[in-house]
Amino acid sequence: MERILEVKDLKIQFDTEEGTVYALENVSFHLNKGEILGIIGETGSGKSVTASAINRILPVPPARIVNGEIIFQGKDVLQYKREEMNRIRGKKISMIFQEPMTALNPVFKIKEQMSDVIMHHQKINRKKAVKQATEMLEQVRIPDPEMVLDKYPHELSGGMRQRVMIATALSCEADLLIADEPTTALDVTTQDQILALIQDMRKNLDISVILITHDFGVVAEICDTVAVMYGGSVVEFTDIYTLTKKPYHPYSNGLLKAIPPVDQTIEKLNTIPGSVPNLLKPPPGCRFHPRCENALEKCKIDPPSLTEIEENHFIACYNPIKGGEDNE
Amino acid sequence: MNNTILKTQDLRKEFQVRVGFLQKERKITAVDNVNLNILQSETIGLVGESGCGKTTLGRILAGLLSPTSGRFFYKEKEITEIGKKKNKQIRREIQMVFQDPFSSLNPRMTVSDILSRPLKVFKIGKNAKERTNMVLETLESVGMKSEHMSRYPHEFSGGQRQRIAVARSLIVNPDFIILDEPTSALDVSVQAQILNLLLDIKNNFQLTMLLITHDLSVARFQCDRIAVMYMGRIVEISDKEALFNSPAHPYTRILLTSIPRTDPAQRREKAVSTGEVPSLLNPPSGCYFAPRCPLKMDICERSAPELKRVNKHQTCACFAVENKR
Repeated sequence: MERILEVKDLKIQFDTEEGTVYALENVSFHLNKGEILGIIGETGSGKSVTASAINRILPVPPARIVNGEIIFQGKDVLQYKREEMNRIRGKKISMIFQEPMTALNPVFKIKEQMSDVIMHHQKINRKKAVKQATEMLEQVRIPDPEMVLDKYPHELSGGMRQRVMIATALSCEADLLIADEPTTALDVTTQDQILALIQDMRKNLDISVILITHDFGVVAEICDTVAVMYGGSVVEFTDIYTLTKKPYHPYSNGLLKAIPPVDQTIEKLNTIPGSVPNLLKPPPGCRFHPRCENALEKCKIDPPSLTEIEENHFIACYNPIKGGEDNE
Repeated sequence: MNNTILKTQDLRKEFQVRVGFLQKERKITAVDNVNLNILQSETIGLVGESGCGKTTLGRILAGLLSPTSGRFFYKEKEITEIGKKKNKQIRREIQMVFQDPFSSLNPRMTVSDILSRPLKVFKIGKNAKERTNMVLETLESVGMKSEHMSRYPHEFSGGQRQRIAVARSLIVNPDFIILDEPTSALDVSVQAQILNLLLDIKNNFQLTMLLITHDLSVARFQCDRIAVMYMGRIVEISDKEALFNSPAHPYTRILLTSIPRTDPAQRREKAVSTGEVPSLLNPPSGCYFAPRCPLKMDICERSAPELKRVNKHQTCACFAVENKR
């Protein structure tokens, strides 16, 4: 299968007034063409920083890319010059964000905002760009595209705005769509529609998607592969079926079991003691070790690297759950 | 056990809003003639999507908002009628925990101050020493330690702050606690800790709880009964198992199937719902859910259905469900 994206050993730090934030360490994963990769993690796990790094929208400084490669369509995006990246961003790699209200400009009509993007990347006039915008809005199943084009962002509902964002992001036939918590601000019934839409777009437009979320349900619903992040590192990376059935990393397993199920009533939830680390002062060794039941002496000193323990199943752990605890 | 602790009768809350360029004043009905019985020692869930009025209803019951019309009774006393003085006693008995522990705790007060303030307000405890002991005891009951007493809210993580907020509500020995999205600002691993804690507290203190949440899986874990709200109206009240196993109202059904499951084997091909929640400024006539409803009949567009009993465990406001019986 063709790899559209490969992130290798990415390490990023931020220099802030309070000190150095060790934001990313040991981040590796890849995405095959036409697939949806979920990046799941809790607050401060580094999932959004990873996404911003791929699209090169991290402010440098304070960010500092210490190490690593981001190979997109065969080339390392970290090596691109600024102008080169400007041509790729929005054209080849597109991004949508959690809160579409802040991503859209409140003082311009949808028509202007969408056609600006199209005109920036394609040499066509306003009239043609608006026509293309109309077609894109139809693609994302907006019932009355002309009417929506003539509106300001605040006149649309949250779900509608997110559709407009998706339509804008895909209007230049991007190859990779990065969706950063695209449904977190939406209600479940709307979320359901947007997730179905992302899946349709993937099929119809042949794009690859990175979906960033804190919600395991969202990942299980539409992703093919999943990278679990904790404290700035990828701790497990495999396909979604394997991960939900046989997680090897104690964190993935703990996280899965901490979610209250919808389909059954249970007496007690599994908890992971403590809370996520402060990345100004991350714990030495494996960043999960202070909360880990399986921690060994070694885990406190030496951070484990991400290794392939079964075919296409990567974990960063010295003492994984034995044989993958079967969750069935 | 089956005593009613709180009861509402046609409770209604309207807000005046200014809309559009001309700032025309319009009226929206956030809570629309709600009739709800809450029983002693039960946990009842109030679920629905954003803007459905669940928080407004919670705030009315907590005394933070006054209803436009309707009545509500707490332990058979009519709250809407009694004077301020008597009301204060009831304020002690009904406590509320808010969604965001970053804004519900005063950043300039230590944990010890935060927890002893309600004791002073309600004149509980003879002297400072007794109050300190109570603070300590309550902190321990939510899994915090004595060394935390002199610290400020910013020194704690989100989960710990929510523990402090829960402790603040518990310290005055309430009978009824209203929890407004207590875990939605928290990470999953921390949410699990708080949910377990709330369940323990409920069992240990024999409390009655109203849990407001948009997350049905949280409601399933925590509640005995669940009321589903849509655009200010309660559309279904059911015992938990009945609601999840055989949801009565078509909206409840859509809500339940919309939740993404954590097992990829249960994926659905297509989105189950169509359309979006209409604006409260311009509600449809009749049943508010009719425009999105797969079971819609002619009558649904003309008049609004009332909550009627479907079986021993469920009540539901739907003409189609009524017809089927």
